[in-house]
Amino acid sequence: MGLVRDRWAPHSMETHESHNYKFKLVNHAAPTPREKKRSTSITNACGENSSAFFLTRCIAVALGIRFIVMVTIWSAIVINSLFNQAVPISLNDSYCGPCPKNWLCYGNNCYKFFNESKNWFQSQASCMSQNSSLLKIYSQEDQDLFKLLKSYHWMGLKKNSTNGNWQWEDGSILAPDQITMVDMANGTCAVYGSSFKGYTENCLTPNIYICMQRIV
Amino acid sequence: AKSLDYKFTVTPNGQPWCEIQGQVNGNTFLHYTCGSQEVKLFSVLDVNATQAWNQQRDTLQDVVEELKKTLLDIKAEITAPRGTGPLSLQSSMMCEQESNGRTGASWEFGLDGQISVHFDPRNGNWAVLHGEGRVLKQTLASDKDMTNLLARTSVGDCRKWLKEVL
Repeated sequence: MGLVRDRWAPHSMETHESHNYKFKLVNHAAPTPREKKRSTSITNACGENSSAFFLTRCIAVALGIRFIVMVTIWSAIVINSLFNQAVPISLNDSYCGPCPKNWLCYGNNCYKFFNESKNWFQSQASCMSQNSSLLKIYSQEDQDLFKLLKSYHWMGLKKNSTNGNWQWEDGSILAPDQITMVDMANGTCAVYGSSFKGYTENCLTPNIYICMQRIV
Repeated sequence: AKSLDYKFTVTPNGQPWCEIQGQVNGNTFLHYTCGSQEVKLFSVLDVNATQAWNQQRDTLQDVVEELKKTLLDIKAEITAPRGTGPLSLQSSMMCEQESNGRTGASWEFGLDGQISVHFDPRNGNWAVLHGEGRVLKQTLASDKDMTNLLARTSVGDCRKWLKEVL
Protein backbone atom coordinates (compact mmCIF):
# COMPACT_ATOMS: atom_id res chain seq x y z
CA MET A 1 0.00 0.00 0.00
CA GLY A 2 2.78 2.42 0.96
CA LEU A 3 4.63 1.65 -2.26
CA VAL A 4 1.62 2.49 -4.39
CA ARG A 5 1.24 5.81 -2.64
CA ASP A 6 4.93 6.67 -3.13
CA ARG A 7 4.67 6.09 -6.86
CA TRP A 8 1.50 8.07 -7.08
CA ALA A 9 2.97 11.21 -5.52
CA PRO A 10 5.64 12.15 -8.16
CA HIS A 11 3.17 11.38 -10.91
CA SER A 12 0.66 13.85 -9.54
CA MET A 13 3.44 16.43 -9.24
CA GLU A 14 4.12 16.08 -12.97
CA THR A 15 0.49 16.70 -13.84
CA HIS A 16 0.44 19.87 -11.83
CA GLU A 17 3.62 21.14 -13.48
CA SER A 18 2.32 20.61 -17.01
CA HIS A 19 -0.88 22.35 -16.00
CA ASN A 20 1.09 25.33 -14.70
CA TYR A 21 3.11 25.54 -17.87
CA LYS A 22 -0.07 25.81 -19.90
CA PHE A 23 -1.38 28.31 -17.42
CA LYS A 24 1.76 30.45 -17.85
CA LEU A 25 1.23 30.68 -21.58
CA VAL A 26 -2.38 31.59 -21.16
CA ASN A 27 -1.46 34.20 -18.59
CA HIS A 28 0.46 36.25 -21.19
CA ALA A 29 -2.59 36.39 -23.41
CA ALA A 30 -5.89 37.69 -22.18
CA PRO A 31 -7.10 35.28 -19.52
CA THR A 32 -10.65 33.99 -19.62
CA PRO A 33 -12.64 34.82 -16.50
CA ARG A 34 -12.64 31.20 -15.35
CA GLU A 35 -8.87 30.92 -15.64
CA LYS A 36 -8.35 34.24 -13.89
CA LYS A 37 -10.45 33.17 -10.97
CA ARG A 38 -8.44 29.97 -10.62
CA SER A 39 -5.12 31.85 -10.77
CA THR A 40 -6.17 34.19 -7.97
CA SER A 41 -7.21 31.39 -5.64
CA ILE A 42 -3.83 29.60 -6.05
CA THR A 43 -1.93 32.85 -5.67
CA ASN A 44 -3.77 33.62 -2.45
CA ALA A 45 -2.91 30.26 -1.00
CA CYS A 46 0.82 30.79 -1.67
CA GLY A 47 1.05 34.40 -0.63
CA GLU A 48 1.01 37.60 -2.59
CA ASN A 49 3.67 36.63 -5.18
CA SER A 50 1.77 35.98 -8.36
CA SER A 51 4.73 34.89 -10.49
CA ALA A 52 4.11 31.52 -12.15
CA PHE A 53 7.66 30.38 -11.25
CA PHE A 54 7.01 30.86 -7.57
CA LEU A 55 3.66 29.20 -7.93
CA THR A 56 5.32 26.10 -9.39
CA ARG A 57 7.86 26.00 -6.57
CA CYS A 58 5.16 26.56 -4.04
CA ILE A 59 3.17 23.56 -5.28
CA ALA A 60 6.31 21.41 -5.55
CA VAL A 61 7.21 22.21 -1.92
CA ALA A 62 3.66 21.51 -0.80
CA LEU A 63 3.67 18.16 -2.57
CA GLY A 64 7.08 17.38 -1.12
CA ILE A 65 5.81 18.03 2.40
CA ARG A 66 2.73 15.96 1.65
CA PHE A 67 4.97 13.13 0.47
CA ILE A 68 7.06 13.22 3.66
CA VAL A 69 3.92 13.31 5.82
CA MET A 70 2.45 10.31 3.95
CA VAL A 71 5.67 8.31 4.34
CA THR A 72 5.77 9.14 8.06
CA ILE A 73 2.14 8.08 8.54
CA TRP A 74 2.62 4.83 6.66
CA SER A 75 5.81 3.92 8.51
CA ALA A 76 4.09 4.75 11.80
CA ILE A 77 1.24 2.39 10.85
CA VAL A 78 3.65 -0.40 9.83
CA ILE A 79 5.81 -0.05 12.98
CA ASN A 80 2.73 0.16 15.16
CA SER A 81 1.24 -3.02 13.70
CA LEU A 82 4.55 -4.88 14.25
CA PHE A 83 4.75 -3.60 17.81
CA ASN A 84 1.14 -4.60 18.55
CA GLN A 85 1.89 -8.15 17.38
CA ALA A 86 5.07 -8.42 19.45
CA VAL A 87 3.50 -7.46 22.76
CA PRO A 88 1.06 -10.40 23.28
CA ILE A 89 3.70 -12.96 22.14
CA SER A 90 6.21 -11.84 24.73
CA LEU A 91 3.55 -11.81 27.45
CA ASN A 92 2.08 -15.24 26.74
CA ASP A 93 4.97 -17.39 25.58
CA SER A 94 8.36 -15.92 26.34
CA TYR A 95 7.79 -14.29 29.69
CA CYS A 96 9.41 -16.06 32.60
CA GLY A 97 9.39 -14.26 35.90
CA PRO A 98 12.39 -12.92 37.78
CA CYS A 99 14.76 -15.63 39.07
CA PRO A 100 17.85 -15.26 41.28
CA LYS A 101 21.09 -14.88 39.34
CA ASN A 102 22.32 -18.18 37.78
CA TRP A 103 18.99 -19.95 38.32
CA LEU A 104 17.17 -21.59 35.45
CA CYS A 105 13.79 -20.12 34.61
CA TYR A 106 11.28 -22.53 33.11
CA GLY A 107 7.48 -22.46 33.01
CA ASN A 108 7.26 -19.73 35.65
CA ASN A 109 9.48 -21.61 38.11
CA CYS A 110 13.11 -21.07 39.07
CA TYR A 111 15.37 -24.12 39.37
CA LYS A 112 18.95 -24.64 40.42
CA PHE A 113 20.87 -27.91 40.03
CA PHE A 114 23.51 -28.48 42.71
CA ASN A 115 26.40 -30.78 41.85
CA GLU A 116 27.65 -31.20 45.43
CA SER A 117 26.39 -34.37 47.13
CA LYS A 118 24.56 -33.94 50.43
CA ASN A 119 22.15 -36.10 52.41
CA TRP A 120 18.44 -35.28 52.16
CA PHE A 121 18.33 -33.08 55.27
CA GLN A 122 21.41 -31.09 54.28
CA SER A 123 20.01 -30.65 50.78
CA GLN A 124 16.72 -29.42 52.21
CA ALA A 125 18.58 -26.96 54.47
CA SER A 126 20.65 -25.73 51.53
CA CYS A 127 17.52 -24.96 49.50
CA MET A 128 15.85 -23.27 52.47
CA SER A 129 18.87 -21.03 52.99
CA GLN A 130 18.32 -19.82 49.42
CA ASN A 131 14.63 -19.06 49.87
CA SER A 132 13.59 -22.18 47.97
CA SER A 133 12.63 -25.81 48.56
CA LEU A 134 13.67 -29.16 47.08
CA LEU A 135 12.22 -30.06 43.68
CA LYS A 136 8.48 -30.73 43.65
CA ILE A 137 6.82 -32.26 40.57
CA TYR A 138 3.30 -30.81 40.61
CA SER A 139 2.58 -31.05 36.87
CA GLN A 140 4.35 -33.26 34.33
CA GLU A 141 3.10 -30.89 31.63
CA ASP A 142 4.48 -27.68 33.17
CA GLN A 143 7.72 -29.39 34.18
CA ASP A 144 8.32 -31.41 31.00
CA LEU A 145 12.02 -30.50 30.99
CA PHE A 146 12.52 -33.12 33.72
CA LYS A 147 11.35 -35.95 31.45
CA LEU A 148 14.84 -36.33 29.98
CA LEU A 149 16.92 -35.61 33.07
CA LYS A 150 19.48 -38.45 33.29
CA SER A 151 21.13 -38.12 36.72
CA TYR A 152 19.42 -38.84 40.04
CA HIS A 153 18.77 -35.87 42.30
CA TRP A 154 17.13 -35.48 45.70
CA MET A 155 13.62 -34.06 45.50
CA GLY A 156 11.35 -32.83 48.28
CA LEU A 157 9.50 -36.11 48.76
CA LYS A 158 9.59 -37.94 52.11
CA LYS A 159 7.64 -40.80 53.64
CA ASN A 160 5.49 -39.76 56.59
CA SER A 161 6.61 -42.01 59.47
CA THR A 162 3.16 -42.10 61.12
CA ASN A 163 0.81 -42.86 58.21
CA GLY A 164 3.28 -44.13 55.57
CA ASN A 165 2.17 -41.61 52.90
CA TRP A 166 4.66 -39.96 50.58
CA GLN A 167 4.49 -36.22 51.18
CA TRP A 168 5.99 -33.14 49.57
CA GLU A 169 7.72 -30.54 51.72
CA ASP A 170 4.61 -28.33 51.65
CA GLY A 171 2.66 -31.16 53.33
CA SER A 172 0.64 -32.20 50.25
CA ILE A 173 0.34 -35.94 49.58
CA LEU A 174 1.94 -37.39 46.45
CA ALA A 175 -0.61 -37.77 43.63
CA PRO A 176 -0.33 -40.69 41.16
CA ASP A 177 -0.08 -38.33 38.14
CA GLN A 178 2.96 -36.56 39.58
CA ILE A 179 5.59 -39.26 40.23
CA THR A 180 5.66 -43.05 39.85
CA MET A 181 7.42 -44.48 42.88
CA VAL A 182 9.95 -47.31 42.45
CA ASP A 183 11.11 -49.16 45.56
CA MET A 184 14.81 -49.65 46.09
CA ALA A 185 16.27 -50.46 49.52
CA ASN A 186 14.18 -49.43 52.51
CA GLY A 187 14.43 -45.71 52.03
CA THR A 188 12.09 -43.04 53.32
CA CYS A 189 13.35 -40.27 51.01
CA ALA A 190 13.26 -40.17 47.21
CA VAL A 191 15.54 -39.21 44.33
CA TYR A 192 14.12 -38.08 41.02
CA GLY A 193 14.80 -40.33 37.99
CA SER A 194 14.00 -39.60 34.34
CA SER A 195 10.45 -40.07 32.97
CA PHE A 196 8.91 -38.82 36.24
CA LYS A 197 10.01 -41.66 38.47
CA GLY A 198 10.93 -41.45 42.13
CA TYR A 199 13.35 -44.02 43.58
CA THR A 200 13.26 -44.59 47.32
CA GLU A 201 16.60 -43.92 48.97
CA ASN A 202 18.11 -43.87 52.45
CA CYS A 203 17.81 -40.22 53.56
CA LEU A 204 21.42 -40.22 54.80
CA THR A 205 22.92 -41.22 51.42
CA PRO A 206 24.68 -38.27 49.77
CA ASN A 207 23.15 -37.23 46.43
CA ILE A 208 23.13 -34.19 44.20
CA TYR A 209 19.92 -32.16 44.45
CA ILE A 210 17.63 -29.63 42.78
CA CYS A 211 16.18 -26.54 44.46
CA MET A 212 13.03 -24.91 43.16
CA GLN A 213 11.38 -21.55 43.67
CA ARG A 214 7.82 -20.99 42.54
CA ILE A 215 6.98 -17.59 41.10
CA VAL A 216 3.58 -16.55 42.41
CA ALA B 1 11.03 -69.06 39.71
CA LYS B 2 9.50 -66.30 37.63
CA SER B 3 11.72 -64.06 35.55
CA LEU B 4 11.80 -61.04 33.26
CA ASP B 5 14.53 -60.73 30.67
CA TYR B 6 15.33 -57.79 28.37
CA LYS B 7 17.82 -57.88 25.50
CA PHE B 8 19.14 -54.60 24.11
CA THR B 9 21.07 -54.50 20.84
CA VAL B 10 22.66 -51.24 19.75
CA THR B 11 24.15 -50.79 16.26
CA PRO B 12 24.66 -47.00 15.89
CA ASN B 13 25.34 -47.11 12.13
CA GLY B 14 22.88 -49.90 11.44
CA GLN B 15 19.29 -50.05 10.34
CA PRO B 16 17.62 -50.13 12.82
CA TRP B 17 20.06 -48.56 15.27
CA CYS B 18 18.60 -50.51 18.18
CA GLU B 19 16.30 -53.36 19.12
CA ILE B 20 14.72 -54.31 22.42
CA GLN B 21 13.30 -57.73 23.17
CA GLY B 22 11.36 -58.58 26.32
CA GLN B 23 10.73 -62.07 27.69
CA VAL B 24 8.63 -63.46 30.52
CA ASN B 25 9.87 -66.85 31.77
CA GLY B 26 11.73 -67.22 28.48
CA ASN B 27 8.72 -66.38 26.26
CA THR B 28 9.01 -63.27 24.09
CA PHE B 29 6.19 -60.78 24.72
CA LEU B 30 7.64 -57.66 23.12
CA HIS B 31 9.92 -56.70 20.29
CA TYR B 32 10.70 -53.03 19.69
CA THR B 33 12.59 -51.54 16.76
CA CYS B 34 14.13 -48.06 17.15
CA GLY B 35 13.90 -45.53 14.37
CA SER B 36 10.66 -46.91 12.96
CA GLN B 37 9.45 -47.15 16.59
CA GLU B 38 7.63 -50.30 15.62
CA VAL B 39 6.55 -52.49 18.51
CA LYS B 40 5.32 -56.07 18.24
CA LEU B 41 3.49 -57.49 21.23
CA PHE B 42 2.88 -61.19 21.71
CA SER B 43 0.32 -62.71 24.01
CA VAL B 44 1.93 -64.74 26.72
CA LEU B 45 0.06 -66.50 29.50
CA ASP B 46 -0.73 -64.22 32.46
CA VAL B 47 0.78 -61.13 30.79
CA ASN B 48 -1.04 -58.07 29.48
CA ALA B 49 1.62 -57.14 26.93
CA THR B 50 0.04 -53.79 25.99
CA GLN B 51 -0.18 -52.67 29.60
CA ALA B 52 3.37 -53.87 30.27
CA TRP B 53 4.77 -52.02 27.26
CA ASN B 54 2.98 -48.77 28.16
CA GLN B 55 4.47 -48.95 31.62
CA GLN B 56 7.99 -50.01 30.61
CA ARG B 57 8.51 -48.09 27.33
CA ASP B 58 10.09 -44.88 28.69
CA THR B 59 12.48 -46.72 30.99
CA LEU B 60 13.58 -49.21 28.33
CA GLN B 61 14.13 -46.39 25.84
CA ASP B 62 16.21 -44.47 28.41
CA VAL B 63 18.43 -47.54 28.89
CA VAL B 64 18.97 -48.12 25.18
CA GLU B 65 19.83 -44.42 24.63
CA GLU B 66 22.50 -44.61 27.32
CA LEU B 67 23.88 -47.87 25.93
CA LYS B 68 24.27 -46.18 22.57
CA LYS B 69 26.37 -43.44 24.19
CA THR B 70 28.51 -46.11 25.88
CA LEU B 71 29.22 -47.81 22.57
CA LEU B 72 30.11 -44.49 20.93
CA ASP B 73 32.51 -43.74 23.82
CA ILE B 74 34.13 -47.16 23.35
CA LYS B 75 34.42 -46.69 19.60
CA ALA B 76 36.22 -43.41 20.24
CA GLU B 77 38.60 -45.15 22.64
CA ILE B 78 39.35 -48.32 20.68
CA THR B 79 41.16 -47.96 17.40
CA ALA B 80 41.17 -51.70 16.96
CA PRO B 81 43.66 -53.52 14.69
CA ARG B 82 40.71 -53.94 12.36
CA GLY B 83 40.55 -50.17 12.28
CA THR B 84 36.81 -49.87 12.80
CA GLY B 85 36.22 -50.65 16.48
CA PRO B 86 33.18 -52.63 17.60
CA LEU B 87 30.04 -52.28 15.48
CA SER B 88 27.40 -53.39 17.94
CA LEU B 89 26.76 -53.71 21.67
CA GLN B 90 24.58 -56.39 23.25
CA SER B 91 23.23 -56.12 26.73
CA SER B 92 20.72 -58.04 28.76
CA MET B 93 18.98 -57.29 32.03
CA MET B 94 17.40 -60.04 34.05
CA CYS B 95 15.38 -60.05 37.24
CA GLU B 96 13.78 -63.07 38.87
CA GLN B 97 11.92 -64.05 41.95
CA GLU B 98 14.08 -66.45 43.94
CA SER B 99 12.66 -69.35 45.94
CA ASN B 100 13.37 -67.52 49.22
CA GLY B 101 11.10 -64.68 48.07
CA ARG B 102 13.93 -62.26 47.32
CA THR B 103 14.49 -60.76 43.88
CA GLY B 104 17.68 -61.41 42.00
CA ALA B 105 18.93 -59.11 39.26
CA SER B 106 21.87 -59.10 36.87
CA TRP B 107 23.32 -57.44 33.77
CA GLU B 108 25.47 -58.80 30.96
CA PHE B 109 27.29 -56.89 28.22
CA GLY B 110 29.18 -57.77 25.08
CA LEU B 111 30.57 -56.32 21.86
CA ASP B 112 29.87 -57.70 18.38
CA GLY B 113 27.90 -60.61 19.76
CA GLN B 114 30.34 -61.90 22.38
CA ILE B 115 29.26 -61.48 26.02
CA SER B 116 32.31 -60.36 28.01
CA VAL B 117 31.18 -58.40 31.10
CA HIS B 118 28.89 -59.25 34.02
CA PHE B 119 27.49 -56.77 36.56
CA ASP B 120 25.80 -57.55 39.87
CA PRO B 121 23.64 -54.50 40.66
CA ARG B 122 23.04 -55.49 44.29
CA ASN B 123 26.67 -55.27 45.39
CA GLY B 124 28.04 -53.23 42.48
CA ASN B 125 30.60 -55.91 41.49
CA TRP B 126 31.88 -56.21 37.93
CA ALA B 127 33.36 -59.31 36.33
CA VAL B 128 35.31 -59.41 33.06
CA LEU B 129 34.72 -62.76 31.34
CA HIS B 130 37.11 -62.19 28.41
CA GLY B 131 40.08 -59.88 27.87
CA GLU B 132 38.09 -57.98 25.22
CA GLY B 133 35.67 -56.88 27.93
CA ARG B 134 38.21 -54.75 29.76
CA VAL B 135 37.52 -51.48 27.94
CA LEU B 136 33.78 -52.14 28.00
CA LYS B 137 33.81 -52.70 31.76
CA GLN B 138 35.99 -49.61 32.31
CA THR B 139 33.69 -47.42 30.25
CA LEU B 140 30.56 -48.62 32.05
CA ALA B 141 32.00 -48.68 35.58
CA SER B 142 33.62 -45.24 35.41
CA ASP B 143 30.29 -43.60 34.49
CA LYS B 144 28.46 -43.05 37.78
CA ASP B 145 25.19 -42.10 36.08
CA MET B 146 25.39 -45.29 34.02
CA THR B 147 25.98 -47.62 36.99
CA ASN B 148 23.19 -45.81 38.83
CA LEU B 149 20.86 -46.34 35.88
CA LEU B 150 21.78 -50.04 35.62
CA ALA B 151 21.26 -50.63 39.35
CA ARG B 152 18.00 -48.71 39.66
CA THR B 153 16.48 -50.17 36.50
CA SER B 154 17.22 -53.81 37.40
CA VAL B 155 16.72 -53.73 41.18
CA GLY B 156 13.94 -51.14 41.12
CA ASP B 157 11.97 -51.02 37.86
CA CYS B 158 12.42 -54.66 36.80
CA ARG B 159 11.35 -55.95 40.22
CA LYS B 160 8.32 -53.66 40.18
CA TRP B 161 7.35 -54.94 36.70
CA LEU B 162 7.87 -58.54 37.82
CA LYS B 163 5.43 -58.06 40.70
CA GLU B 164 2.81 -56.44 38.46
CA VAL B 165 3.19 -58.72 35.47
CA LEU B 166 2.93 -62.04 37.27
